[in-house]
Amino acid sequence: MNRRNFLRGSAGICFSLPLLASLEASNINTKVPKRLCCTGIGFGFAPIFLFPKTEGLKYEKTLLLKELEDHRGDFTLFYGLDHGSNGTGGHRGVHTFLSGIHSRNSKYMPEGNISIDQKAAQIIGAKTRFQSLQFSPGGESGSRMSWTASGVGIPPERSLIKIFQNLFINLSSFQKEKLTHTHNINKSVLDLVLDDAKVLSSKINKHDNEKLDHYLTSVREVEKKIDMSSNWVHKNKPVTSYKLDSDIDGMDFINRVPVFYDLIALSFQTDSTRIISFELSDIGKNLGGFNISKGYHQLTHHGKEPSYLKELQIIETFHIQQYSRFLTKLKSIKEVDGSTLFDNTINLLGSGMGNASSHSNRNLPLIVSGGGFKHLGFKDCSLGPKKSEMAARLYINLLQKFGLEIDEFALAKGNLSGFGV
Amino acid sequence: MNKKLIFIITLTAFVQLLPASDDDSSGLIPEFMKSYLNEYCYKCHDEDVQKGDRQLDLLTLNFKDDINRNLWQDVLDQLNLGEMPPRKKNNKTPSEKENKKVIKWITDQLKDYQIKHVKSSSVMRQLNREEYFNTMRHLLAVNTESFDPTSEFPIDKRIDGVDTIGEAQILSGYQFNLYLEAASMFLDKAIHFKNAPESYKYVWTAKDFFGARQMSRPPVRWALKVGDEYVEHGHGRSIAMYPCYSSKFGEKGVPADGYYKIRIKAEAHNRLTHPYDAKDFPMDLSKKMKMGLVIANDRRALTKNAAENRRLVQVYELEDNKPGWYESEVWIDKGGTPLVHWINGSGKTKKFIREIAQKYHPEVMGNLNRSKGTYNGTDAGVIKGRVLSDVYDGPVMRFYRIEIEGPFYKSWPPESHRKLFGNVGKVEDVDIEKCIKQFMTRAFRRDVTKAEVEKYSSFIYSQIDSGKDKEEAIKTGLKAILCSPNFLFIPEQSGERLNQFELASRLSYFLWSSSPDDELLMIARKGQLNDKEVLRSQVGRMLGSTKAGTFIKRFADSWLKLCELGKNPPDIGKFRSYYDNRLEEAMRKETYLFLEYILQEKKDIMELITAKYTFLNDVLADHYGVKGVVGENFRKVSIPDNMPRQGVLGHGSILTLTSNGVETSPVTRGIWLLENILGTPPSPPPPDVEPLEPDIRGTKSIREQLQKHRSVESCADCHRKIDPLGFAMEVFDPIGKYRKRYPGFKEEIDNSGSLPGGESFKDIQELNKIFSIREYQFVKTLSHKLLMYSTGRHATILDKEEMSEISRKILSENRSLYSLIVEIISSDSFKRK
Repeated sequence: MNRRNFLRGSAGICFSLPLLASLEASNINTKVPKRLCCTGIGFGFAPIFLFPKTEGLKYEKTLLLKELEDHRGDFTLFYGLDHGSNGTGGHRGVHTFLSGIHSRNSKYMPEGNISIDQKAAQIIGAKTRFQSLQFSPGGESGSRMSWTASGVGIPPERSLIKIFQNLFINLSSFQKEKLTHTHNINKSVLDLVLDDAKVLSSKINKHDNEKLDHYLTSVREVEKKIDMSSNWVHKNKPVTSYKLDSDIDGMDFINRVPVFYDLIALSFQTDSTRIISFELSDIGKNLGGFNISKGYHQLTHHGKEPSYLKELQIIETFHIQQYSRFLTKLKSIKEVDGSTLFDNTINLLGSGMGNASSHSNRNLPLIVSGGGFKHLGFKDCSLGPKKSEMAARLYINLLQKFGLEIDEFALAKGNLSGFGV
Repeated sequence: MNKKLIFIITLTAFVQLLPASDDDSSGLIPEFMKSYLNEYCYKCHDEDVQKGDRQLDLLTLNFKDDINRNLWQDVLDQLNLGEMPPRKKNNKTPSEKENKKVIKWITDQLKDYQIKHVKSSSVMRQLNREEYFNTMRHLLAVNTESFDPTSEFPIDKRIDGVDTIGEAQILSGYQFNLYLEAASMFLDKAIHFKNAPESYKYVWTAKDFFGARQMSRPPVRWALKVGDEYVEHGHGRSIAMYPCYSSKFGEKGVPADGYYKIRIKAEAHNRLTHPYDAKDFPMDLSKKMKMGLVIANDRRALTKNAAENRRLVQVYELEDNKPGWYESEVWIDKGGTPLVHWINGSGKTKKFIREIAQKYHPEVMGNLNRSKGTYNGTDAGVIKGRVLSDVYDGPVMRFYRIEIEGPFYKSWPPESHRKLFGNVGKVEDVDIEKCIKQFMTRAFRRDVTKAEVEKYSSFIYSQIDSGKDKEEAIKTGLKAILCSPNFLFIPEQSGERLNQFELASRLSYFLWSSSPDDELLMIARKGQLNDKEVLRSQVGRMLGSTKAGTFIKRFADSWLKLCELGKNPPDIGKFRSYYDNRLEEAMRKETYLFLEYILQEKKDIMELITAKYTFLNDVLADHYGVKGVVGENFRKVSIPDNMPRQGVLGHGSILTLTSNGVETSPVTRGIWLLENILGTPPSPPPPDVEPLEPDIRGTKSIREQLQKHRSVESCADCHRKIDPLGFAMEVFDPIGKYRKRYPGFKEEIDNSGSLPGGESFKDIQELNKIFSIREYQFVKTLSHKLLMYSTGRHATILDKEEMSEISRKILSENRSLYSLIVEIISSDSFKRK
């Protein structure tokens, strides 16, 4: 890692933010809201770098866990969890990370291959300006993390400048008026085209009508969204003193990743959203700014070759270091009730890839931190040699903690016992 | 093909979700078929072992079950290809006779099912991103050179490279919202009830150019010579770091959309007449200096490192040592700013400028190393206050003056407006019903009913009644048309065989990726599209039109995966020339021109992979090592016999898109060949069982690494098919440059290999020969892909049979891609829903 990045990483957010008035007011009687942050590493982590041997809080420091030493006791690293045959397919299985369902199987499921962040978003409604947000520093990886109930992968926002604008820059009154006007026009347009769909429906066969159903669902989604955002159009956005470099979007991966984490923390702190998914796959141009000589993908197929492992380690260490810094940041932010943002944020770091070197989607690396769980350090959940437990069970724990009253998710029924308050 | 992927899914997990099997499944698989499976297949594909993720003891006679039917189809495909059962030592292999018998039986079962139960297999599809964009711009005649409201649309899913498959398409609220926005943006561009914007002339002289007056290129200081006459650029590069434009003008850009006349006075100064050694410069001064005219679409595109949102519209080769005027007429959207720069300049100047200063002008060196360049007067021989630019005589591009005049229009109201309202210039004169009927017919690609027109007209009237002004009400009505399912989908409602209008749409989305034009709709209305001769002449007309350029592009994307070029950008440190010489753009153009030539000149279809010619400009020819190509323009060039470049496999585009930007990967290239040339894609990596982790420690070359990798048996199954093909292509580096050795290695690259079928080759040229012997397989692969692309469905067994016939016919008759397209369009499969 270069020096500049190190400095940038430790520069930090200015924490003199006024909390949202509404939050403050509502907080006298109600609890501080839960947040959910899902971070996905497309190529996962090399198991030899990550997993220790000893279960519990006294696990030995592995190459990557060393970087999380500050947080010992505040997270749980799981072993032996995956999505079974539904998550397989090498790189084509990675997108099942948060859903447990392969996208091509979504049609067999009542809620498609919905991912946990979108499932969680169902109880948010119009409580925050953004129901959920999706970020990624770049690359068209094609293996999305966030999936809607209709089987659509939500494209993440890649531009830090745009993210910042959406979160913190107010529209002018002219823009607000125009937006309201557009909303009204769109609603009348939607009424009309729904009628067209009805007429068309009677003329086409069964299969085609299934497609037309997607159309109807989409139109209704837009209607709902218009209704929800109309409350927010005229409210001012939170104020921040955080400054972005104007050419931040043109910078290398290693310079941009810490800023993404900063903006995630800021989004939660200002209650702009309570759910964020963050996808890290491609490292982009200039080999991401890392001091390496081969492509990331190439390195993950290390075949145990030392020169490959050495370079792969540089990238994976970076990921964990930045994540650790992010967790520290969350711990430093106080909530109105005296708890920290870390206590109220359910953080999941992981991947749909178990071992990239052999294209295995088994035994996924999954680290849960914060969120008010009683953490277990290193926890082996496997049901026997080479027999894993369903990762979706863990997701039920996370969703329950977030406030959903469910005990089924994806193909799993019932949560993971022994992991809770 | 992806059908294979569809059922890879875990049968176990979904068994309970599948509809209960019905009466059809009650029969039993005949004994000979069972024993065949038992004898030759179960060993690797049963409950215990599922190589390639296939479990064949799950096969039943329930053909209504998609998963089961696809599994049968896959078995059949493998048998037809002769890939399975594998011919390995210690393997029992079936006799020809046995094979024929089971192939016939499976074929009959699948066909029988198809004929009895499947009246239509295309699932209604929506316009994909490119089709939507094309349809909108043709429908509304809006200039889209700098305008693309679809840039945020989700990327369409590709199945076997094809992005038109209705079954795989997805629509979401997110996407629908973008349709709403895009429709408004297009309509705002199209409709003009106001007078034409006034036209102005702007003149920039030297003093208007560029913000900075001097630059420190430590240790050399440089002051721009802004005499009053010109500014000089000593650097410049493909991506303009410091382009030349008026920063004041750039704040607002041009005042309105329209055509602008741009005149530039510039000069290539001292390219060959400088007093230094040519070797002192990193750029190739033997080529003329090229001046690029770029349009920055908005202010953001003017920032130093911006590359997006800029459009290179013209490249001029400048005359040496003589100022000249260079002119162009370009479309600029409101807010855009033209800029010029030296696009084949040196890029970074720091290193060579310092060396030149040291070598030839030591008197300026004292201004180095000191902050702000003020000289403190201690170094011997240094002249106080003198900076390098005072004495530098190296090659520079001089910009004297730029004149911008406009906007101009070919007519007013512009064509976009007239397409909607004829010559009606005042909104109060618009006949709403007439306008709606006409637009709806084109947008819905068929005749519309009176009720439909009425619905939309009364919607507009109700908008007016509620207080909106007429223009806005009309716009809202048009917007609704553009968001209707009748527009966004391509519905085919007439059952098994397409009706005339539906056929017209299929034809125009095949060849134009856009809606049928008025002529095509007229022919459909008259019912003439079943007439073979009419159809043939329409294909000729359509492929002859400029709109067919989209076909070439999309064909290259679907078949060759050209759309992936640029996704793994080559490392700028290792492959500088890729950026300095704009090779990516040149490579893409080479492939387009080549495909266009093969298609339009009706060349032998096998030339796609065997041609010893291609299309090059100067920089790409240099890259390939082909001599004698001068200048920016592309032309047809013969490839010398001793070069291993042949057909598309020798194209820089293909060789780059199959690499990761840093190194070549024989695996990626091997898979590419299997998928696109041989039509036999390998199974995805073994997923379900925890595979052994490959161990490649102690290997030196990529060949050794892969050899060791293949010692893991589950890897070896596919890699023995993949790797040898890739090795043959190792003579080309990650950006398609010819090489004999890997960097840092003494040994020559070994390009030999052998295919699972036993044929061996010693290099890529011999491999190419093997490909051309397998011409039937090659053409069949192409025909499947084209049919999939044009019908938006997976090929059914009836489709496959007809395509096989057509492939044979093409190869025995006039053997051209053009005829293949005509035959496909004339086929039954094409006309079937």
